Amino acid sequence: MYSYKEPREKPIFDTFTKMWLVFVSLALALVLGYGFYLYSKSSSFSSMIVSKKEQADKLSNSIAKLESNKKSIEEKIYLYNKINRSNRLLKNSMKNLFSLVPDQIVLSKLDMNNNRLKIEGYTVTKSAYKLLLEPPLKSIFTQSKVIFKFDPYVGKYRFTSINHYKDEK
Amino acid sequence: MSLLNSLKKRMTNQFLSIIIYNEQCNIKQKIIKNAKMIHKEEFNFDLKSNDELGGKVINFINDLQAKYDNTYIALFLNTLGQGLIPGCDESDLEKFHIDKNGVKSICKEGRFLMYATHIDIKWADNLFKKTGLDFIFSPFLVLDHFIKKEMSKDSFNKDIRVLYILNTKNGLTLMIQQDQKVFYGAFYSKTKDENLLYTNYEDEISESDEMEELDLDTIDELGMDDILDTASQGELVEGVLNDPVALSEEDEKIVKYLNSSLKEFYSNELYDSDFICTAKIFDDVGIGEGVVKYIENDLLLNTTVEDISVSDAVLDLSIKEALNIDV
Repeated sequence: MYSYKEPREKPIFDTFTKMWLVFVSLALALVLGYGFYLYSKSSSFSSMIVSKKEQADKLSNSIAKLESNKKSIEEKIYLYNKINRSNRLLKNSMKNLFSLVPDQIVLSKLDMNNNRLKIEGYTVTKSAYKLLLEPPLKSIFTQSKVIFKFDPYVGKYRFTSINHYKDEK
Repeated sequence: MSLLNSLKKRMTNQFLSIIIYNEQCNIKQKIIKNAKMIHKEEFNFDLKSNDELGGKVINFINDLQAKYDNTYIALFLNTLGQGLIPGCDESDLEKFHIDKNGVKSICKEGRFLMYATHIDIKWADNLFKKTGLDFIFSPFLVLDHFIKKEMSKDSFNKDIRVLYILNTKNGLTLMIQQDQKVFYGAFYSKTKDENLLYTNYEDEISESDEMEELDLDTIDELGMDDILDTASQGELVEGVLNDPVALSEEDEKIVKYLNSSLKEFYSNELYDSDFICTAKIFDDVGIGEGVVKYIENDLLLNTTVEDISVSDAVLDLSIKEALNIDV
């Protein structure tokens, strides 16, 4: 303040200390920068993990849905097959049945349920039914019952045969 | 910034005071740490010339600087190209016939304006080109430093006007002051070749023609033409020369400078001249008894002498400047 000259600059750190400080701070900055980079990476990874987990949950949900769909479809297939088979069987059995029916017997009504076959018709004699129709019916159905009733207007026996078929499955 | 300063105060700081006089160089070293002095040493070297430090001194200073990171070098300016005017108005310099653009001036607490020519400051810079230089202190600043100490004493009398004299190795600094108010200041160099005016004083009186041949421009710059006039009258000097007490060559010079100063002070209208009651001499070199007697008997001033060290004052001032502390 009262000197005719300004004092020289007096740096607190000399050149070497300054260089050293620069390098250390540079290294520190690099390490910190890399650390920050890693940190941001890991945080982005963890957020990715969360989203992937959600995705996986969704996928597993849809898998479960698909699974149940598949099951129902399989059931449908099974049912279809079953129905198809039974239809075919029925068709065959009908065919067989009709081929079984002899000329002495006239069928008036056929009622077919799942395992039950009700046949109504007229026969000339009881024995004709018993000889010609009963044996094949018995061979197809597990149980076969027949009721005769003479119809005087027709001069024939009216019979009602109820046959059961027991599914072995 | 203040953090930096407080940090600097805690660090080791080396201060060097340098005084150059009569082809000699006085270096005082002071090492400060934590606002406490830990080392002090003084060295003296011979110089080939006052204008060149020489390799030995340069190496010595640079070796000292290499030891400590913070070294402040302060020079006590004792060249002729400087002075003081009362008050702090720079435009007043013109009144005292000083070229405002040729000098660098510093105001001290609004009390006085000390100035030094750019030539002298440049000379100091050149002298320390190879070592570096931090402070250049005016002798008025040093004298004021001692006056301040004097004023803080209980015995200090505020009501009288005092002539303060700083007697240094090759310079004489004068200030006239009452309490805080400065009325006059002058600096004289005792070195022969610098002070051509006063070297062959007696011859000059008889051969006044020679005086006119002197470079009056430089004298004007220093505001000394009035001094020249008063000095040429030489009336007071007669009395000194007739004094029974023998005066050495240097003492004679001091007496001459005192006379011309007082003459100047009393006769020049620019100065608020009132009678001076006492003289206080701050002595760095050992003032002759004859001078003291002369001041007491012929100038009729009650005189006290105090031994002081200018280099210590320069160190104190540079510590104050650099760290703003007193050690």
